[in-house]
Amino acid sequence: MEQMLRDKKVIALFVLPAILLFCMFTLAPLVASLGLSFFKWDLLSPMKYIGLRNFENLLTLDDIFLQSVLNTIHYLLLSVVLQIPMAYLLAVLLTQGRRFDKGFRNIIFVPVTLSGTAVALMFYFIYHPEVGLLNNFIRLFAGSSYSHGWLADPNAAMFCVCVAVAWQFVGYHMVIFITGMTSISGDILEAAQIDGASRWKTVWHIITPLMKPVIKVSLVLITTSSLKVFDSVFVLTGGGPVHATEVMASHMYNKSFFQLRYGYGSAIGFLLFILCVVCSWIISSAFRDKE
Amino acid sequence: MKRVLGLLLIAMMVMSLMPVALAADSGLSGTITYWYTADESNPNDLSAVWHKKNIELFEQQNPNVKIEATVIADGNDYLTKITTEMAAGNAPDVFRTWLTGRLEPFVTAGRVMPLNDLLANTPALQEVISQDAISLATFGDKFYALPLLSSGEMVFYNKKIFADNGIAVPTSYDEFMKACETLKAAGVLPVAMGGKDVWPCSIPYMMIFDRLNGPDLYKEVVLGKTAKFDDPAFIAAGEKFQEMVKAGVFSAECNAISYSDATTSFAQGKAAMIFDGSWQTSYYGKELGDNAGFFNFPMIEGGKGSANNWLKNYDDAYAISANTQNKAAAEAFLAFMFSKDRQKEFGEYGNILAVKNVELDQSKVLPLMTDIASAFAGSDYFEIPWDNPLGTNIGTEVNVTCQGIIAGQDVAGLFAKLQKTAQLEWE
Amino acid sequence: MQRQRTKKHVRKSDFVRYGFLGFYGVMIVYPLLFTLMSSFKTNQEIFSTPWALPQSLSLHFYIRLFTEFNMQSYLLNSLFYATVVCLVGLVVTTTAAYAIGRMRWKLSKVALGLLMTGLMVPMHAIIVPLYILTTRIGVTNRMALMLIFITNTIPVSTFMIIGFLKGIPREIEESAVIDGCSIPRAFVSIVCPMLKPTLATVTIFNFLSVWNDLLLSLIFLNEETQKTLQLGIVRFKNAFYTDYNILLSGIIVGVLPSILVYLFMSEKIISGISAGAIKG
Repeated sequence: MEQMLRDKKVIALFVLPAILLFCMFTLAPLVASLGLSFFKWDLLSPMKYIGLRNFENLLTLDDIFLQSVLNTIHYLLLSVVLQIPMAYLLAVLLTQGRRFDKGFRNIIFVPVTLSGTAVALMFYFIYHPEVGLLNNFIRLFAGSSYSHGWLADPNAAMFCVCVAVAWQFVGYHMVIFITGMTSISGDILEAAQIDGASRWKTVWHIITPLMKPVIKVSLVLITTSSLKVFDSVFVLTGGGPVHATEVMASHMYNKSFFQLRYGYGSAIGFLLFILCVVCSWIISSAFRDKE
Repeated sequence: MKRVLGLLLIAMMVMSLMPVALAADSGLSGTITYWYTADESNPNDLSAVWHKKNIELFEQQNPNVKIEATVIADGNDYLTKITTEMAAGNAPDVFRTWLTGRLEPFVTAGRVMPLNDLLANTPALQEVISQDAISLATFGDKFYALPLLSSGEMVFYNKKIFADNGIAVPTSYDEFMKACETLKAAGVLPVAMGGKDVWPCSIPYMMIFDRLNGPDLYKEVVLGKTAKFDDPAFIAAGEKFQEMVKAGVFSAECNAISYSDATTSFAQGKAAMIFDGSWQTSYYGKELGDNAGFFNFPMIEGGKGSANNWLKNYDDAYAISANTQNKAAAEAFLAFMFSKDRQKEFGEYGNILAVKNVELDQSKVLPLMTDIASAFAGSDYFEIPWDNPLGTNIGTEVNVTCQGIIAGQDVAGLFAKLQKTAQLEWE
Repeated sequence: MQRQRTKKHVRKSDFVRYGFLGFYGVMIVYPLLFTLMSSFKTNQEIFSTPWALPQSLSLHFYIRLFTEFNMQSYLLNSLFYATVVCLVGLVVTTTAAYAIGRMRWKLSKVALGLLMTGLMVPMHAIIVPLYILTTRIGVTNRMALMLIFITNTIPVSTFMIIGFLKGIPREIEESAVIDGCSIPRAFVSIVCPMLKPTLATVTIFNFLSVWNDLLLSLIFLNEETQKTLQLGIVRFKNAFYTDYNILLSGIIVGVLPSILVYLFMSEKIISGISAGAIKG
């Protein structure tokens, strides 16, 4: 068996299509983009080599960039806190084989099927100062003085965006957790039942340890997608008010396409990439001992 | 023998001339690509229909020409697509572009074709294209794009709401503020504002700035691209603007409302006024009928700017790629778009034209539109909305600064930040 | 897993449980219902009475989507791209995941790291080089788009499948090999069926990423006949005017196939689980 697992021909057959596609359509453009960050390019005229100047400007002079980094990390932390515990809880609750489990699971997953633009539009309405659901509820229960321009408030805007994104994606992580939980062998769970363990004890001592690889998958996915977030923020707030929700990806978009500074934008992309790599590495290390 | 040869020669000459004679009917051939922006769902904006008809009619008249069209509704999406296409070295033959600061990069990079020859060789074009219109597409001694639209920014107001509250069109800043007070007391939102989209925030500011200072500083800083945003004039105008905000002229949460929602609000009679552009004339005209009116922002006591200085611009311009493989067809199509017939139809669809000498069927045109067009024609001085000449970086940051003023942030601080960004950009 | 017979009396914890789930369910459904209802309202109604029931339930706007705005062509295109990408992606990523996660070769960790960097790539950063690349090698429009979609499924899918592969004990393949199976045979006949829940999950995610994509479709597709559903919907939203009812109707039409695919796949997840349980 060991020998068969080392069969080079099978390995090549299995892995080469993915590797080739990846190298051509992801790796090559990525390397090109990283290279472009050392140039000045407006997409229209020839490129000019300027060494590290883009990075210098980014890190020392670009206030908006520095704010966008803080905003991106803020977004990441909020997203993880809002989505992962809730998704896990829902997965635990909805894998007990109770009535309506399937119904709840399906309902909670439906938002995942929507496009980012659609969700942003929905929540634009919900947060609308005049006709929004949130303000209407608040007026009903707490009086009109508490109704607020949520997306106009630099302090509240990011949280509001994260709630919208969490509304959409809790179902995504829930499904990942459910798939993991349902793959756990029935024998182990039956044994626990026979031993008289309550559901919560079972979850804490048996299921969760076995779920570590799955939790790692979920954390890495939410981290990388949060750091790269663009649509959900841009369509809902455009990066405003006054750059309060400007994330690295939206700043990169503005610089690259709107201001025609593609080299500078690529430098932002480079730093964003590094940030993703670092965060993923941190998560992977944290989970490595457990395996 | 000589006679036979002679006849043969004549026959050959006639035969060789025949294709030319036939081709004279449809001398153009080939394919051209045409990228344009149009909103197909807006019942008040029939430009999508107009563009499609351009293609149909041109292809009918030139059966050997095929036009491959790509239409994108949203300006940002269009920008991403066209810049990516240019980066890859292609460019559509005829495409929608911008003016002044946003056209400049294309010109400097040599990606657009100068149109001076086209104009010189086409008398029909000379009749309709005005120097004013192409001035914003001129760099050096050549111009590179032809605008379809003439647009300006002003204050639209609801005549009925004004009448119900006993308000007359304000002729001074103080009258304007008093009118807003009266409206507020009556429970009516004085001015609708879509702060979320950022650029609408700058309209009142630019007007206040002009009324206080006149055009000189604008010429130096905005047109001349000199970093002088820390000049007390900018801050003073910002503070005056913030006075307006604090007096409750706009809704307290207007930075959370999109521009298109604010326009709907005004069109549905929920606000008395809106600082907006002439591109909405059709919409307001249709929704409010005779109750739709407009005025230019009034003068401010002690200020140097006249109330007859208008914020005006040209927009929706079309250019030809410098690398076009089919110059003849591209030029012909562009000229066709600007022919009197096509322009007449465009104007009758409810657009203010950038061309001159085109008679419109008055029964199809809203009186409001004709009034606005004459107001433009009779103005003292034109300022171009600043985010155009300032370019995409500083232009946007000026808009963001205005959004910050509405949000109640410290005016001096906002302009200090703007100044820092401008210095970085221009020095 | 054997179902517990639900006890006859309702326990206090059930109130809490169903109460919580019910509340969460309402939070999810309400905005969706709102979108659905608003798609039947005129712009006027949306702004004056946003939370009331629509005045008429006429399918007028939905019909216009198909008669005036060519929605059926966009739907079919999206369906075509999504199906091709899901099928090809499944084959490519599952085999790669197995090779990396199970087979023994020196560079497996390197390959994994390589594919994982795919998760860290911001799309806007590579779109221009990607576009230039495809035009230079002569792959255009639809072909390029589908190849890129397939490539984009690789990082997430392989990552997930490898993660779940770890939960399948090696003994499974060992016993198959002892019975005379080759590794590829074992992979196809034994491991893949056990991976069904995972593969169904991965397929849903891949389907959605193609179905909801906007940026790549925008850049790579020019002709109307090739455009996708999202591009169709975006026609109705621009900076100056938003006709909400056409836009919302388009969104609803766009979301229905996604939900159907999800429901179909989630059946597979359930059946895959039972199959796995039977083996004991």
